Order: sequence, then C-alpha cells, then structure tokens
Amino acid sequence: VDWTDGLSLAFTGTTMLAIVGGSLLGLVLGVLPGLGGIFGLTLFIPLTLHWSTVTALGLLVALYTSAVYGGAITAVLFRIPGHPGNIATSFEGPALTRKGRAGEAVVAIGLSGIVGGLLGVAAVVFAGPVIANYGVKISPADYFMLAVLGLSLVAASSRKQVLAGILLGGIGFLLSTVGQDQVSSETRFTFGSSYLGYNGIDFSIVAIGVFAVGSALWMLTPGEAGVTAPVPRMWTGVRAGCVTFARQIAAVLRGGVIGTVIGTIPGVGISLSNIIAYVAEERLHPKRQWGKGEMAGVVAPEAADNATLVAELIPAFTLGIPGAPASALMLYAITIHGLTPGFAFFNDNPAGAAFFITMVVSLVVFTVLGFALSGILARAALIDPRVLAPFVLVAGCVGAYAVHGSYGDIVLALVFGVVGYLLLRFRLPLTPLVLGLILGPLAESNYRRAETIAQATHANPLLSVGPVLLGVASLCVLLVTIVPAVRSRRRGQSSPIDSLSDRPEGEIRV
Amino acid sequence: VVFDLVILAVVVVYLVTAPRYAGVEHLFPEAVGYPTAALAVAAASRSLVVYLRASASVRTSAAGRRAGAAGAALRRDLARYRPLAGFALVAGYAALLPVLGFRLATLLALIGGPLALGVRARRMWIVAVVAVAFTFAMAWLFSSDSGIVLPPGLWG
Repeated sequence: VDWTDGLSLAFTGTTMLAIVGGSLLGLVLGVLPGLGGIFGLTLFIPLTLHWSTVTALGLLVALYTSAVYGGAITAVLFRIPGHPGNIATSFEGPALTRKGRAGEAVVAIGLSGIVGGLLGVAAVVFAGPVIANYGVKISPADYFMLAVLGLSLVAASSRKQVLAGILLGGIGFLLSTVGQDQVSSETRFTFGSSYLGYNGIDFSIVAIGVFAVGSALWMLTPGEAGVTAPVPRMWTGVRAGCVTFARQIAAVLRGGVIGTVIGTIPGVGISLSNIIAYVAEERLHPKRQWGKGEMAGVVAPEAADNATLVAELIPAFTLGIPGAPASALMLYAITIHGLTPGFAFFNDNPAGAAFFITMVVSLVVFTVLGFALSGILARAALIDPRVLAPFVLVAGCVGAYAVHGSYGDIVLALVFGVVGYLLLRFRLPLTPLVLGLILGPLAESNYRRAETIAQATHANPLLSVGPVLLGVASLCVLLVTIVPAVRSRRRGQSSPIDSLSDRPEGEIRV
Repeated sequence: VVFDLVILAVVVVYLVTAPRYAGVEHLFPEAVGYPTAALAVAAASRSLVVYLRASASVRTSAAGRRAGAAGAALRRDLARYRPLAGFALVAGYAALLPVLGFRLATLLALIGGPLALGVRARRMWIVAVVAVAFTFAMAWLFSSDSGIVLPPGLWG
C-alpha cells in the first residue's frame, strides 16, 4: 500500500471537509427513525459521481462508519437501535441512562468504536493484500463458485428463513441478467422496454428502492411512531467516559477481535457480531448484573460493530465478493470511481491508501462530533415519521434520478420500494435480493469465461474441478441443507444468540 | 368546494395536455400558461377557505362533536392505509416532476405530504422552512457538480 502518496491525497481541505460533512450526515441518518448508513450511501453514491475520487470516497466512508455511532446514541437513550448492529447496545444502554450515566456511556462507546474500527482497518490492510494476491490465481470457475458461496452464506445467515433467502437471492441473480448481455451485448428480458435494454436493472437503484423508499413506506405503518422520552444531559460524562473506557479496554479489545473475525465471513455481518460480543462478555463474567446497566455490555458490542463494518470490506475489496449491502455499496462506489478491487487496490495504489486513511480520520471525527452533538441528535429521533417519510421518499426519487438522469430510474425505484415494503411487511430478508443483484454479473461473467476456457480445452466447465471449487461447492451444499436441518432440530432449544437476534429487519431499521 | 375542485381538475388536465395540442409549442406557457395557473391557484385557495369555514362551524355544533368522535375512530382505521398514502404521494410526486419541475414539485410534496398524511402540528412552519432549505440545497448540489440536470418543468 502506497502510504506516502495516500497521506498527501487524503489530507486536503476538500477531503477533510467531505469527511466532516459525511460524518454529520451519517450521524443524523443514524439517529433518524427508519434511516441509516445504507440509505445515505444509496443516495450519495450517484451524487458524488463527478467528484474527485478521494473526496467522494472520504464522504462515503465517513457516512458508512458514522451512522452506526448515531444508532448507538438512540440505543442508549431510548432503547431504539438505529442499526441492526446496535441491538446488543440497547440491552444495557437504557439502564445506564436511567442511572444518569448516558453521557459516560456515549463517550465510552465512541472510544470503543475507534479501537474496533482500527482493529478492522489493521485486518484489511494486513490481510487484504495477501488474499488479493491469492485472488489473482483463482480460476473463473472458482470465482463463479465463490459468488454462489457468498449468496449461500447470506441465505444461511437469514436465520429462520433460509429458503426465502435462497429464493430472494435467486431472484436477485435473475434480475441482474435483465438488459445487455455482458458477452454478446444482446438485450435480454427487457419486454421491449428501451430503458431496460439500455440500463438494465441497476444495483444502486434497487438499493435506493428497497432501503430508502421501502423503509420510508414501512415507517408510515401504525406502531412505528417515534419515542417521546426526554433527552438527558450529556456533557457531564466526558471524563467519566474516558475513565470507563480505560477500565473496560479488555472487553473492548475482545469485542474488536470478535467483530473483525466475523466481518471477514461474508453474510454473517454486523447484526450478529455485536450480539456475539455481548454474549461472550456475559459468559465471561456471569456474576455481573447483566441487563441492569453493565458497561462492558455496551462497549464490547460497539467495538465489535465498528470492527465488523470495516472487516466486511475484506472479501469485497480483495475478491470482489461483498457479504453485506453496505460493503456491496462501498464496492460499487470504488468501482464507479475507477478503482479496481483485488490486487490493484492494495498494491502501490495511492487512492487505496487514501481510502484507509480517510477511514481512520473519520473514526475520530464522528466520535468527537457525535458526542458534541449527541443532545441535538437524540432529539432528531423524536421526529414524527409522517413528517420524515415525505423527505425520505423525495430524497429517494432524486437519488434514483441522479443515477442515469432518467424518469425510468424513479419508476424502477418506486417498484422496488413496494417490493422492499412488502419484504419488510412479511418479515422476509432484504439482503439476499440486493446481494443477488451484485453477485449475479460476477457469477455469470465468470461462468461464461469458464465455459469459453472449457470449450477451448474440450472439457466441462464445472467438471474440470480444482480443490477450491470442490471445497466451495461442498460448503454451499452444507450451508443450504445441513444448517437449516440442524436449526429446525434445535428449534425447541434456541441459543442465547438466536433468541437475542431474532427480530425482523424492519423493526430495527435498515 | 366540489365546483372549485372540478375547475381545478379541468385546469390541471388542460395544463398537462395543452403543449401537446397547442401546435405552436412556444405559445405555451407564456401566453396561455400563466392565466390558467392563476385560475388554478384562485380555485384551490377558494376551496380551502370554504372548507376551513365549513369544518369550523361543524366542529362547534353538538352533531359535529359526535361526528368528531366517530372521525377519531375513522382516523385510527385510516392509519392502516398510511403506507398506501405514502406510495400515492411519491407516485404523484414522480408524475408531477416533469410538469412542475424539481423545485415546485418538491416543495409541494414536502409541505403537502405531511399534511396529507395527517400531521396537524402547530409547528408546521418549521417543516415548511426545512422543506424550502432542503429543496434549494438539493437543487444547488445538482446544479454545481453532479453533471445531472434536474427536471426544469414546463415553466423552465
């Protein structure tokens, strides 16, 4: 990684301004009911298309990392996790608020997030080049199976809805084939529509539809109204928060390591890492009063969150296989800004180095801003969803229009908005559909390449298998058959992780 | 109110279809558009005044209070259809975008949207101020550096 040039690219006035702006936006979106970092990324990726690469990535990285901290503030104050990654924080946070330790908890969480994020960045920087170098040697057939594995992992992690996850992932795969064929340039499945023939179904528009329009419609559902609790004083906790953080450093490091390891596995993601970190602390110290304001129960999950958020970029940036919607969007963002995932991203690439530097800077910036503005940010969580929804819907339409500058983009976003709402309404997972769309072209192009190679060597593309392909294929079969079977057998005796994380995506916002 | 709404509907249909049938495109909206728009605004504001006066007189009567209780129950039932109303709002916004242009359509959706969804807060003026700031900030963001031209509408 070219750090010297990366530093000079990252430390410019406009990039720093973009990081501060992105952090503010991310924090606001993190606390606003129904929104989050993914919503912000879907809207701002098209808007920053014409910006310089590092400035645009600075804003997007800051947005990506800061929204989780915003969600943690509302989890501590009102028991509203702004992000699936803040669920565990909402177990102990409100009890700490009742004890008058809200400010202390918010400071300690911010500092833990920095440590977790730094562990994640270290993992990406050290493991990334190694995996990326290995990725160069992987054959197209192996790549195809890795894309299928990515989707199988996402489906298998859909807890009780593995079949729905597989189906939705398959639908995503199918939708990715609409439009121009990558190899022959012939149009497919367009039903005579020139819009679909020219643009296909763009991943970013589907993401806007599902995550922005869909969640705006969902927030209008009765019972999704905001909270009415008073906002406590926060400024009294700065010193106590720093002392608490120092005392809890072991828990923070444990959470960070758990989060980093989980982040590297595609499909598992942030919604589970924070709960695993919480349960690990609970098991390690069973005599503590859990549920009554235990500080280790908020700092460890938040360190895990930030570590996972960054480590999720490892499969995305090394092999081009994202394991979560946020990392898929970041992969999309670097690609449209001319950066190539894999070997080229990590080796002698100043923009790649600048990406990680902006990430470290944004970890510090959003923690400072988040605490300084926590009182105001917390009030934003009280906004009536009926006031907020029109703003989100309009922003979604404008964000979709910005992709190609076409009304067809808005129509497509509205169609997928309804799909997103229905998925939330029927408690089905959103992630497989969106990931199917981004993994589809990767799987198809590599299958076609493998087919061409096989035709040249007169062999069956998938029968001339190597050990990687065989191993990955076996893992896929295991994930979609054995895992659900074991789960259904254990239905009567659910684990603490299952029972804690068993909430539909819509209830914890996307 | 019904009479005014009929006028309003005729005016909207006329505004949408006029360029197609005018034959001479530059005639619209300069010559025909502004008087028609003024008529539409007059009809809409008259409908609003009549509706507000009528609803105020109904609220003060005993029958009105009974109807108010029934209305509260009805509102609770109607709340179930809010996502549908939200979709109607965004679909309407998308349809009006090419006609009214980004600024006008966005302001209408952001101020009219919460009202249509049942918000009756005294601080609606704050929403209006935020809506104006949001609209012009978005327009500035697009005009400055995005390379995308937002819909100017028929009035350009």
